[in-house]
Amino acid sequence: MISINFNGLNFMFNQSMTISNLISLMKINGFVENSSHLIKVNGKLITPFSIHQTTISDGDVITTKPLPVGG
Amino acid sequence: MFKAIRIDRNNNKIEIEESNLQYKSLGGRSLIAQFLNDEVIPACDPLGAASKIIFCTSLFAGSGLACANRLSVGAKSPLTGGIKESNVGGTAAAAFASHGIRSLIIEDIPENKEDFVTILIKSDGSVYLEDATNFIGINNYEYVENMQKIYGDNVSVISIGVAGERLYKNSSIQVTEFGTNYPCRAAGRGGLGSVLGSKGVKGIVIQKPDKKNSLDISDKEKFLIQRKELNQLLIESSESNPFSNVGTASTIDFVGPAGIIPTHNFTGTISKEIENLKSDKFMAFVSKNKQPCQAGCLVKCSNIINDKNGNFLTGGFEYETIALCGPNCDIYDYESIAYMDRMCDDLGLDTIETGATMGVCMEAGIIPWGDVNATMKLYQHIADGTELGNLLGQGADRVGKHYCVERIPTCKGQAMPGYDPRGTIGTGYTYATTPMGADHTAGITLGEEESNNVEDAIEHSKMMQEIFAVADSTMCMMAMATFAGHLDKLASLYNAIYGDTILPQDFLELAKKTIHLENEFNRKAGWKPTDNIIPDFFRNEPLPSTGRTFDISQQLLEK
Repeated sequence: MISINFNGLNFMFNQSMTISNLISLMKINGFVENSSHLIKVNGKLITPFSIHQTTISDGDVITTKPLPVGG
Repeated sequence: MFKAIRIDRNNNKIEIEESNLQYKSLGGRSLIAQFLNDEVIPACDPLGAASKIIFCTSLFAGSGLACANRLSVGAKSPLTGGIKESNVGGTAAAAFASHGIRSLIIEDIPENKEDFVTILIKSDGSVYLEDATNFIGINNYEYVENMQKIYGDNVSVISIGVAGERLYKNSSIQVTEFGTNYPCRAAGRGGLGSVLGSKGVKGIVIQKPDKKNSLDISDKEKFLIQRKELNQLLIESSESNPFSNVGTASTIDFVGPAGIIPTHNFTGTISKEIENLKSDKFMAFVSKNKQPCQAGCLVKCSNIINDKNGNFLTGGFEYETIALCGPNCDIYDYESIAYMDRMCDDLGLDTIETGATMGVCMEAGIIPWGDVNATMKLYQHIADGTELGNLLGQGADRVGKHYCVERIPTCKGQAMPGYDPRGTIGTGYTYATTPMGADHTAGITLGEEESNNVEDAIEHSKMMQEIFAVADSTMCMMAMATFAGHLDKLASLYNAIYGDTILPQDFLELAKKTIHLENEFNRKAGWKPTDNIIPDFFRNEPLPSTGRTFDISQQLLEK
């Protein structure tokens, strides 16, 4: 089992998955509003370019915030 | 594949050629960075014979991907002295794509400075230079009206007003908007209107093609699936997006009370009158919101403003315009700011640069703070081309220096947009370090949960600079706010179109290469790391709302 903290909430998964798939899952379940974010894994910024390769690991602390866009 | 039109304004030779194959995977900003490095001497006079200006579509223009019909304009900027890419929505990119055109390049200058032409792309794809000397001194709205009368109501028009003709360093290039056909969309930044003016080109008129060019799709089935998925994602995210439901003016709800919106020439003083500009007031003022600026837009952040008689006054009335022409000048009523926006679009002026210039004039005591009538008189000076008007047309930096103003809110000679760098230090880092000069579209980090930590701010800025480099090469940045989470699908769409095998991380390589090429151009043009400066007053005067100064060290800005 993989246990992670996502935006302050604890979740457990049977297997690892990419950050991209995790965000999609969280979106489907209403924990995030959209699927485009600035994402930090254990305090380190993960670029949108790498979320499809980076996988979650047991004990990860993941935080997200909306991607900024100017007016 | 794609066509490139090349026009030499010294001998008026027109060449229509196949796009350089090496440019196949490039569009918008990335194409501009490569092209200017390949063909333009960085040290050239931006308004001289050796300078070139390129118009090109984004990588996905004409594909039916929502918000992908974006037109980029690139040249050496007379304002910053460095490379400049300024992109715009409206009808032009779709019109280019419908003719199979990826780029239009204009070289050299005419021998006679009074020799102005309209570049006409006819419905059969042929290209002509039409005499435009009769339209010298005519501004954008009247010029477009004339072009529609002569060449048809549904032409797409790219044009300059008198500001570009007079080579003002604060001159924009205007593009007609989808739906209204008014020239209210602007490639505003960097003074590129003057580059087009120096080439003696008043405008570019594109007729609808007899036979619409369709993209040569490598894998149509895969393409249709990916496009549908991406467009659906954008529809979903737009449902709760304030930019879709209100417009970019909704930004004021956050940055106004937070003191991040520029006020009183970037002092940051919060006025109670900011309430006049919040979303509820904007919604009461706007005649129509949810207006798409380009065909197929699903974000629809634009709008239409009518005057008191119900006639069209302006469109694309955006946050940046409101912030700089409004609170930055202590002006807090939407109607006045909308008239200023109309005047800028008509004369062909960048609203950000113009608002900052007016703020500097108020700081210098040329006109009183918040005086709408006095401000409009200065706009009229620009329109009339008086000595004062000619000075104001050079932008905030030169006007500030002329009047010996100490507080000039610029980086690399270009005015800061609507975010005080003390309130969003990551965005300030972008202003100081991007190859584009002070420009929020080069990498904004603003957000309600933005970190105050210097290292975080720099890390965010660098990442956002890369994301925006991809956006500026592929689509409108408003769509990238959704698609950045789905770069796998975007890569798949690209592969389906071009028969390639790129991966999501290849977009990062595109961004890195683009920024590297831009920095190289600027280095050869004379930019130095020590030019990465945030004006001293942001370091010495705390932002009233937070007490914070801009505290990223000069050493870090130069790294």
